[in-house]
Amino acid sequence: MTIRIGVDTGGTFTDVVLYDEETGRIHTTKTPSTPPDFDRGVLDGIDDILAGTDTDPAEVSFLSHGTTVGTNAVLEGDIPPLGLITNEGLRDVLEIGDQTRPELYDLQQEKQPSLIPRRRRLGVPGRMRHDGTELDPLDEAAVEAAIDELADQGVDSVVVSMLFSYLNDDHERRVGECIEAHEADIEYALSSAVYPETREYDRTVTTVLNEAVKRNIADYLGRLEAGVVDRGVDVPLNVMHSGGGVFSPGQATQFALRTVLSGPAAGAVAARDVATGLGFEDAIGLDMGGTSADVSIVENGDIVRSTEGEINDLPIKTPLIDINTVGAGGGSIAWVDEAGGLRVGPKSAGADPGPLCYDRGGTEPTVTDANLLLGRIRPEAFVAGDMDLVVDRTRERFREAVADPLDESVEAAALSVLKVANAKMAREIRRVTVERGRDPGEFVLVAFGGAGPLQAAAVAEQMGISSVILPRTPGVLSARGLLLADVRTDESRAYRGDRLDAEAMAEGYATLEATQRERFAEMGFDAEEVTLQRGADMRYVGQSYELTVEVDTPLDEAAVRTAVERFHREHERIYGYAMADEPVEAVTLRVTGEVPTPPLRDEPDATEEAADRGTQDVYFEAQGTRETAVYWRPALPVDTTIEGPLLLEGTGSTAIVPPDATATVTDDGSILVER
Amino acid sequence: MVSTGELEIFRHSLKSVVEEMGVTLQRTAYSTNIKIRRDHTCALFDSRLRHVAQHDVAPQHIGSLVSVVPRNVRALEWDLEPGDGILINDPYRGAVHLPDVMLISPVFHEDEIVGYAANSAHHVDIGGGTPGGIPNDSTELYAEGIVIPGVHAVEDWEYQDRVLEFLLRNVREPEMRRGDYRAQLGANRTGQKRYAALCDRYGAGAVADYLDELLDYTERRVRAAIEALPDGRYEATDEMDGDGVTDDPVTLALAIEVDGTEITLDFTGTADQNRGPLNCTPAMAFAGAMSVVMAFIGGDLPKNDGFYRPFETVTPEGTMVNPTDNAPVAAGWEIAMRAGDLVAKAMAGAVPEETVAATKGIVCNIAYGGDDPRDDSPYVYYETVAGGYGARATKDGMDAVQTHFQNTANSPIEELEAEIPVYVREYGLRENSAGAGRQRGGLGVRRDYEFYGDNATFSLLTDRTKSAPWGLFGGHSAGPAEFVRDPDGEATALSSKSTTELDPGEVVSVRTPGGGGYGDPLERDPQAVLEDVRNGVCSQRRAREVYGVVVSDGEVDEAATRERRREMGDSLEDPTAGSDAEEGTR
Repeated sequence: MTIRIGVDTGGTFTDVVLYDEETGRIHTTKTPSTPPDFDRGVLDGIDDILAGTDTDPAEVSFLSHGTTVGTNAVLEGDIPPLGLITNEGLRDVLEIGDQTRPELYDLQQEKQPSLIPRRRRLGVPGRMRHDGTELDPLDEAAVEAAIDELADQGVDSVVVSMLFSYLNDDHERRVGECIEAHEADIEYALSSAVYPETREYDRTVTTVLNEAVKRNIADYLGRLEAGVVDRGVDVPLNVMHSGGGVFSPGQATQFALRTVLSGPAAGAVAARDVATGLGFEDAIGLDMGGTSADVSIVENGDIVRSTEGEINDLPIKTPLIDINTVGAGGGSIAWVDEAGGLRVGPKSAGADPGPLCYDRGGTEPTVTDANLLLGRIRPEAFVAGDMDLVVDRTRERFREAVADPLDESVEAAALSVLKVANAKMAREIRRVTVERGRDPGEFVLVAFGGAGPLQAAAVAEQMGISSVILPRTPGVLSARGLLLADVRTDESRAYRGDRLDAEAMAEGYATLEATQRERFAEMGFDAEEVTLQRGADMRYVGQSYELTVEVDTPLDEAAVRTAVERFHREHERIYGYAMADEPVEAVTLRVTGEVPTPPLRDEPDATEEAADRGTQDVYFEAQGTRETAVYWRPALPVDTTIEGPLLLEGTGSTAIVPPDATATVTDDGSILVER
Repeated sequence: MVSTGELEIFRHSLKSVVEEMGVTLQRTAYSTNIKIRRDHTCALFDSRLRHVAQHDVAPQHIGSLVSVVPRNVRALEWDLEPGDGILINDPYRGAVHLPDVMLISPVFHEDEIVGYAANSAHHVDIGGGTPGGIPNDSTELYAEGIVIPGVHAVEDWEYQDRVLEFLLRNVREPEMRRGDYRAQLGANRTGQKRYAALCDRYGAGAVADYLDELLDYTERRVRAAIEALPDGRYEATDEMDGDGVTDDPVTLALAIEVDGTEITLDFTGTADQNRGPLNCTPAMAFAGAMSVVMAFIGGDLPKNDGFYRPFETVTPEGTMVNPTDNAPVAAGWEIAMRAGDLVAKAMAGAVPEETVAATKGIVCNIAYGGDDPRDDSPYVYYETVAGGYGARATKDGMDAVQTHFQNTANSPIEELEAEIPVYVREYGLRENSAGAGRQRGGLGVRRDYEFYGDNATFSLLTDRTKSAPWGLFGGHSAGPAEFVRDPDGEATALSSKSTTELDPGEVVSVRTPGGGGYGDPLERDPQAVLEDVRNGVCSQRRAREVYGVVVSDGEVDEAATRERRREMGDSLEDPTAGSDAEEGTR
């Protein structure tokens, strides 16, 4: 039992990574995804890699899977017929949302249609007060009538979301019981069970989205689990969630919305692993692909997480890695606006038709084309056939669309394009770290994805970052993250006591910890294997922004004081001031459970290939055109140190090292670029 | 000569400074207006007091800081030192309404003033006769709150105790306000730090060169966008409800003159200034109109001096868009909002496919206060309610959204009820409130409040109970606003500018207007009408009488619908039939 397998399903391809703990070797394979039955592609991928490495399925000790299949379906409008039962008079809360419109200055904009149409949203008398006591009794006859009506309308499942149910779920539970007892075969979900926290719209929309994703993902995961067992793999199928851990298919179904950032979360986990492995505790992960770049943050060796996110303008209240997306990628289109200003994006040529130089019908100049024209990537990397012709055509179109309108040489204009794209990225990364009260210069940049290693050095320079890490397999780093992710679940509930009371808090934690133990028992772990960590979202009384701080065990008055002190310190760090005399309150209690997954100890593959690939003329801003050494990156031995400028070519990605920087191959096969 | 690539990079760096100021302000403020509703803005000015960058999250602030900072900094009679700050909210010195308090700080770099950081934030209370700073029957500015005329309030990045204590003694919930003042100072401090760092990086001289080019570049973009609009003078007028003191409608007139690369916003023809609070400052009128003009010239234009150059605004003195003699202005944003609707109406003559029918067209300022029986303390709360968006040439109006310059979020009911002794009994789409049309307008919103504490007062400072939101090109108008006390009993209508004392357990129902329709309702797709009937937002009767769509057994009766529509088409002599939407609204 020494084999770990990770499978990352995307819309087009399924990436599979296999790690053999005994040999320390990693194998990868790519198979086509098989929509709409994505499970087939996953199982094909597993078959492929087992056969290709001649591995006995019984040797598999860890299997994990990243998928956004369920979420994507919902985002594309594939929503099963759901109903909603809520308080009388409040059935439109789900539709009104926060009453804002998506764009400020667009008279032709549209709002997303409601997840559940109005005719299937029904209100019933019955209401709780803000302290969880009952104001109006639940009208069960009205509940019965509502269920009848929803049954007539053919709903599969009913979301029940009522005011203050996070404090008192009695009405919601009773509605659930009525649904269960109803003759029609209807399922249901209670907002108090899915997301027991305050703000009725957020709780309702989170529960509705969860239910929609759940119904899309349940069959998929069921078939997948059965397929895995059929193949003689005797370990549970772990599913990657947005919080950067894995959990069981049962939990992935029940808390389906927590898989929303499955893929990017795995990338963030891998970036953290690479950075901390090299001794860097503070890092920015930059995953730059064709259309956008995902930014994640590691602070003190830990990934920065958030308790809320947004998809399609809808708030989602699930624990997730704080990932910010910038609309700048290799395919971002460069254009000149009506006042002669150079702009990059937000439009992208994507992967299809892609940049001009892919020669697949692209007509607009992109960031990747600018890299080509400056000699930073070589056409051999992505086109077969007559490369000179492709380069000439790209140059002509770039001249016509960008260089001439700017009245600049092609090289100068191409450099400007790169600088603008980098400035956009730098601005976004800066905002993200500043919101954390940190200067980006204190971080190391971990750059991956197809386009990341090309831009990283310049982006780092703009932010005053001196070290850049280019991981060994930038194209499949996310899949690697799947092999590394700890088993982890995050549970939370609204704090129900007055102010800060150790006893009331302890009671809340006891409930959360009991839930956690149950979840890990379901996944086959003993209680002593599980590390539980307590946290609380706190704020100054009167504020609406909370900060999460750690809470110690045992929970006595001293532990509460320590937590409050941590809150003051965190507030000072992030906002620049603390108010030691102001009262502090706890809003939400959190417990995280974790069972660590052992690290990977893979050795860089030895290769017989030659490292030296000659030289290439590359244009740099300060130095102009420089003859630049080109190396085949996988062939560079560990501890090699080379002075820039360099082009480092690898499978699916090229890295650039500027003239004033030094590149070192580290033990794990990454390149550390320092200046 | 600055290269265009370098300029774009510089623009991102500069924008990053105001964004960081905005992050600091929003995250550290106390007032929900600032931290949740994002009713604030941050801006930078250069040493010559040219506006160079703005954090653009709330369109009502287009033009606010720019009309205050240069004018008041030039008028200073003392030299600014590092860490100084000037507080101001005086509508008669360029500001808007009193709750928008602005703080201006000089930015120093190597002992020289290289610019100014400024921000404006909407405080929940600014003193005055009623909680929330929105008295609806004041006849002079003084009743609306404390007027801060440009006070040297900050030294060495600390508020001067006496100034701050003086201000806080004049407002409700002073400790919360203290937090807001502190957040505003933190924002400018971020501006100082980051703008100075920019000067370090580029050199102060180079920054000045970049700014010259940035402003010129912005001006070129704005002019190019204006040039694409057909030349002409496009006019529109509407009547507003009374001024809060009298109930007589007053005229708001706006003409948009597009001449080559320039636009004049001409308010000539607008009624004289009112005795009551229905007056706005020129900065407010400009912001209201511009929030919609932006949609016609491109929403992503940088806001700086170059942006403002091609615009001229005519606001005749002594009218309600440029009052004198310390007239009250608390209802001014209602005028600004309607000015936005008038821009869209006027532009129907220029670019009919690109414009929108009338929206809810009100800010819908609501404030309430009283005693909270749960802890025997007084409370005060302010909020605004969404409504319908106007229909477009090919799209229905959005239901229940904020419109034009306004995009502030609502208060979650659970937070509201935890904070205030109230039950929100109803919060939903207002049925039958949309203006009918080939494309229908959006639906208004109904929000019912039951107050259970003593001494509750409910203040409205809004409009549009008389003039309904119009439709365009044969589209019908929508239901106007209604404010109803005791909706399930006596159902007394409340005036749009009124304060009502409520006994414990009484209910007030706020019903905001829908949006106007676009095109003839008889051309509306019967299936779209059916969908609205099924969802209960259009009654079966209304479907038949207004749209000519006959629904029976939950389906469209196609034969009966053809017949009905033929009959209606024949009998309809005036295709721009008036409002029919109030029928059956709830």
